[in-house]
Amino acid sequence: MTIHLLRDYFTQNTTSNNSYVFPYVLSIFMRRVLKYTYVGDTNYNINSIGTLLIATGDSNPTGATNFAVGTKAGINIGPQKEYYVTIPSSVRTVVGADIGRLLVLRSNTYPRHNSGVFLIVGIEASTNSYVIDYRTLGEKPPVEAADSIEWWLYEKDVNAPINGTANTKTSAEYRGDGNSTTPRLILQSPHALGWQVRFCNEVASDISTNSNSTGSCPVTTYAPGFGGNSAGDYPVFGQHFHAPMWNNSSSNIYVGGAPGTGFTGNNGVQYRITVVGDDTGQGIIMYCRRQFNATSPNSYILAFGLPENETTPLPVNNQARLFVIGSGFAASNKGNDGGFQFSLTDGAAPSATAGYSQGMSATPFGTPCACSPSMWAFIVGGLPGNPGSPGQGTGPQYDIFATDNPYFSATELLPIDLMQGSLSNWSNSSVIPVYPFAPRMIGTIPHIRQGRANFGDFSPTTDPARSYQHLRRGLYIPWNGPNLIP
Amino acid sequence: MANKYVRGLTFSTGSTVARVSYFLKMMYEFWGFCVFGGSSLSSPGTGAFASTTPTGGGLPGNFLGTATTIAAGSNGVSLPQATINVASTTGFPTNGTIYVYTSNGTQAVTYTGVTATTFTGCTGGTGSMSTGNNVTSSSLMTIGSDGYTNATTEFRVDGYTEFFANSTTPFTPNMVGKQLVMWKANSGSSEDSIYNIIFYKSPNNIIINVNSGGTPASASDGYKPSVTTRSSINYRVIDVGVAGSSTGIADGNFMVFQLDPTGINTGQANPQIQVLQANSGQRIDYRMSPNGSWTGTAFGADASAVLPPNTVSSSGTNSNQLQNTASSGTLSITLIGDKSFMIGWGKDSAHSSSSGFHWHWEIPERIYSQTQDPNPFAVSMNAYRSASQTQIGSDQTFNGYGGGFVMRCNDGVYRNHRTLVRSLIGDGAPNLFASTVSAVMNVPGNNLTDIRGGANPQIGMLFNSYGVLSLPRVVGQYSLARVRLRNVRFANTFMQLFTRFSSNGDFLLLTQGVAVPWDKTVIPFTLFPF
Repeated sequence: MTIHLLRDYFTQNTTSNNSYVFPYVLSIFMRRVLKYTYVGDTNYNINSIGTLLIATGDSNPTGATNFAVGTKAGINIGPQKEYYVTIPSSVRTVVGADIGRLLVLRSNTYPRHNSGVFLIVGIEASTNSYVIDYRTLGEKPPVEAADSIEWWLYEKDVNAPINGTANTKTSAEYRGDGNSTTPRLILQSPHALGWQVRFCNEVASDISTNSNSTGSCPVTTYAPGFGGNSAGDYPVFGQHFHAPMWNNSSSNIYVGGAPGTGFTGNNGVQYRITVVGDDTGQGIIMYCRRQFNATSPNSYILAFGLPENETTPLPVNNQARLFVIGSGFAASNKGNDGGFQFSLTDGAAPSATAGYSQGMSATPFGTPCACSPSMWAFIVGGLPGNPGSPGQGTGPQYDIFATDNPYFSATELLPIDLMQGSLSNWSNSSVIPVYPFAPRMIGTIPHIRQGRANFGDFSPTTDPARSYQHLRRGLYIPWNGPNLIP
Repeated sequence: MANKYVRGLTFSTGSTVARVSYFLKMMYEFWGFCVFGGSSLSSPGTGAFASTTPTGGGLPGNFLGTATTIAAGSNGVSLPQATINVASTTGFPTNGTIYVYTSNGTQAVTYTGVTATTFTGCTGGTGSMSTGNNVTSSSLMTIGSDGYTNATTEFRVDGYTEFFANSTTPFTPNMVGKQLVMWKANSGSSEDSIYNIIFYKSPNNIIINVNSGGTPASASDGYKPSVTTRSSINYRVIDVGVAGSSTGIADGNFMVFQLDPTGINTGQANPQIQVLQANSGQRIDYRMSPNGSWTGTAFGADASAVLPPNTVSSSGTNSNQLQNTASSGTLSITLIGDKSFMIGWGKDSAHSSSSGFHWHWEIPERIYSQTQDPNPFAVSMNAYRSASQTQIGSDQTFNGYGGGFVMRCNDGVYRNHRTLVRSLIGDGAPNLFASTVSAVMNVPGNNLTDIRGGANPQIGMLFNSYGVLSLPRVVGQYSLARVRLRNVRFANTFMQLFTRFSSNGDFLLLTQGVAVPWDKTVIPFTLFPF
C-alpha cells in the first residue's frame, strides 16, 4: 500500500459556495492519484476532457491511465526553478489563463511530496512550466525529471460544481437523485471489493440549516456503497447508507444520516485541504482546516472507506464493511474542527445542536445504522485537574501532563476503532430510534491514529521522518511529507 | 495451554480462625499441581515457583503437604510399630499425625518425635509396610498416580462423579469432606482441579463433587461439569483445614509464584510474585518481580517493595482481606488460570460483609517491544469491598478493574495503572447530546447500563471490549496504552449475572461488566455464595 498525500491545498473560492471545493478537490485526487475508477455522474464530469478537466498527458482519461512516452511531467527543473512543473509542450502549451487552475500530480517516487493537487500560481513559457504552490515551509520538491510524473490540469476551484435543482419528487422525499440536476458523482475503489462512493452537492431542500430543521443533509455528502448508476445515484433501499436517499425521505430524523462537509455561510473564508489516501483503495481521510483560525474553526474532517483490521467473521453483506464519518453541518458553528471525539470544546459539553461528527455504516442485514469512532476511554473516572473532568470525555489522550512515551521516546499513537450501531439516531430533536442498536466493532479507521492532544496542533511528529502530523485534539494522520506551514 | 478452574469451591475452616492461609493453600495446590503439575506427587511442577520449593519463606512442610517413603528398615513390618523408618522426615512436624500406606490401605498414625529418618513414639494403624510405600503429613492424606475416571459412570447424580485408584487402595472414610487434587502433566484438561470429596465407596473408589472442575458436557447435557475417561491421573488428597491452621503459618511466610510467558511475549523473562501472609493472617501482601529475579533468598533490584492489596473499604484504611476472629466459617474460592495468569476471589461466610479478596495477575500482551518495555507484568490485588459493593468491580480508579493493576514503570517505580476500554461513541463523553443523553451509551464496564448498547441481536453477540492499561497524570511516565489485558473483557452491567459469551475465547460476565475467562461449563450454583 502506497500512501499519497494531498498536502494543504489552499482554496481560492471565498464565496458562500466555498464548501463545494471540498468534494471537487477530493474527487479529482481520488480519480487521478489514487486511481479510483469512474462509475457515473450528473453534471460532475471530472472524467473526460471538457469543462472541468482541461488537459492531461493521459491518453485515456476516462479509463485506465495511459501516459505514452514523453507525455508526463517533471518537477524541480533547476536552480531558481525548484517549484516548476514542466509539461510536455507536445501535449499542452502553458498559458496565463491556467494560473489559478489545479494541477493534479501523481508521483510514484515521492508520493508524499510530489503527489497532490496544486494551485498554479504562475507559468514560464520558455520551459513550458507551471509554477505551483508547493505548500511547504521552505523545502524544495525532490527532483523528478521530465516525463516522470502523471499530470492532469483541472479548472479553478471557484468553478467547482455547485448544487442544482431538486428532482420532481415530493418535498417529503429525498430530492437529490433521479432527475435532479444537482451535481453528483460516483467513483469506485481499486480495492478488490470494488466499493463505491457517491459525492453529492445536495439540493437546497435537503440541506439542513441546523440539526432541528426540515433538511437532513450537510452541503456536500459522501456515501460509500455498491451499485451506483451512470447518473451518480444509488437505488432507494440499495446497498448504501445515505440514509435520506435510502429511505427516500427528507425527514429531519435522518439528520446526520448522510455525513459530509461544509456549510453555506462561510463567506470570505479560505480552507486548507489535506487528504490522505492509498493506492489500494482502502480509505480516505480529508481534513479541511479553516484559515487563520486554528482554535475555533469551522473546519471539517471526513473519513470513509473500508476499515482496516476488520473484525471477523466478516458480514455476508459487504455494505456492512464500509463506513463514512463526516463533521459537516449546514449552519454556522455546526461544523467541528476535526476531532472525532464528541466533546469538541476541549472537553466541555457540546451544545445541543452542534459539535459532533456523524458517521454511518450498515448493519449485517444491510440497513443503514449509525457508526462512530470508538476511542480508548477510561472505564471509570476522568482526569482530575483536566478541563472538563471528571468524565470519560477527558480521556487519556487529553492528559495535560502527557509527554512522549518514556518507553520509546516518541509520541504514542494507536489505531482508532470503528463502532456500528451504538446510537439510535443522529438527531437531537427526537429520540425516535431511526437506526438499530446493534453494537459491533467493524475494524479500525484507515490511516488515522489517536494520540496525545497536547502535542502542537498541525505539527509533524518529532522523529526525523516526520511520520505523522497531529491535527488537533489527539488525531494524527500519516505524513512523511515535507515540513508544514504553520 | 488451556485454562484450569476451581469453580466456587467451598470448604470449612473447622474450629479455627479464617486466616488467609487457607486460601494460600488452595493457591499452592492449584498453581503447583493443577496448572504446573508434573510427575511428582509431592513437589509442585517445574516452573510453578521461583525455587525448587516454595518453602523458602518458612512455610511448614505440613502446610505444603510433605511426603516420604517407607525405608528398608520397616519393610515387611506390620503396624502398629513404635518406630517407622522412612527415607527422610524433612518437612514433617516434630509430632502429630502421618498417613502411612500399608497392605490395609492408608493408615493414620500418630507420633511424638522424629529423627532424620524415623518417626518415633508411633501408635495406630494396621497392615504391613513395604519399602517405597507413601508416608504423608497430616495435611496430605494420600498421594498416587494411578487415578482414573470413567465417563460412562457420569451423571448418575448430577454434579457427582466417581474417582478411582487403579492399583492401590488409598482412600479412607475420613477423607470425606477433604479435597482431591487431580492432574495429568501437560494435559490441558480443565479436569485438573480441586474437588470436594463427598462420599467414600471403597478403598479405591470415592465420589467427588465435579462442579468445581470438570469438563463441560455436551450441549444436550447442558454443559454440566463432567469427567472424561482418563487414566494414570496424579492425585493428592489434602486436608485444607489442617494445612491452613498449621502451626507456623506466621506473618511474613510466603511463596514466590512464577509465571510463564511462552507464547505471549517473545523474549520475556518469567515474572514472579511473592505472596506473604500479613497482619495476623488477615491479609496477603505481595512483591512483584517482572524480571524474575528471586535468588532463593531475595529479589533483585527490579522487585517492588512489599505492597498491600488495594482497598476500597469505607474507612479507606483497612486493607485486610479477612477478619481474623476466632470463629469458624465456610470459605469459598474461585481460581482461574493457566501458566501465564491467575485470577482468584474468595470470601468467608462468617464475615461476608467485611471480608473477601480478589486478585488478577497476568502477563499482559505487550504493545511496546521487549527492549522498550521489558517484561511487562500486571498485578491487581484487592482487599474486600464493603457490603454495599460488589466483590469484583470496575467503578474505582484505584482498585479492581478500574485502576487496580500495578506495573513497574520506566523509572522503576511501581504504580497503579488505569484501565481503558473502547467507548461506544467517540471518546466516551457521557454528555453528548445534552438534551437526549439518555439515548446515549457510554463505555463498557460499570458505566454501560443501557440495555440497547449491550447486545447485537443481528449477529447474536454481546458487545464487549478488551481492556488496556494506561498511565496518565504522571509527568514523564505518560503512557496512553501500555499493555493489553488478555484475560478480562468488559461488557455491561445489566446482563444476567454469569452470562457466558464468546470473545476470542469464552468469558463469564461477573459484576459491573467484568468478565473473566471461562469455558462452556454451566454450574448449578453461584460463584458469589456469600
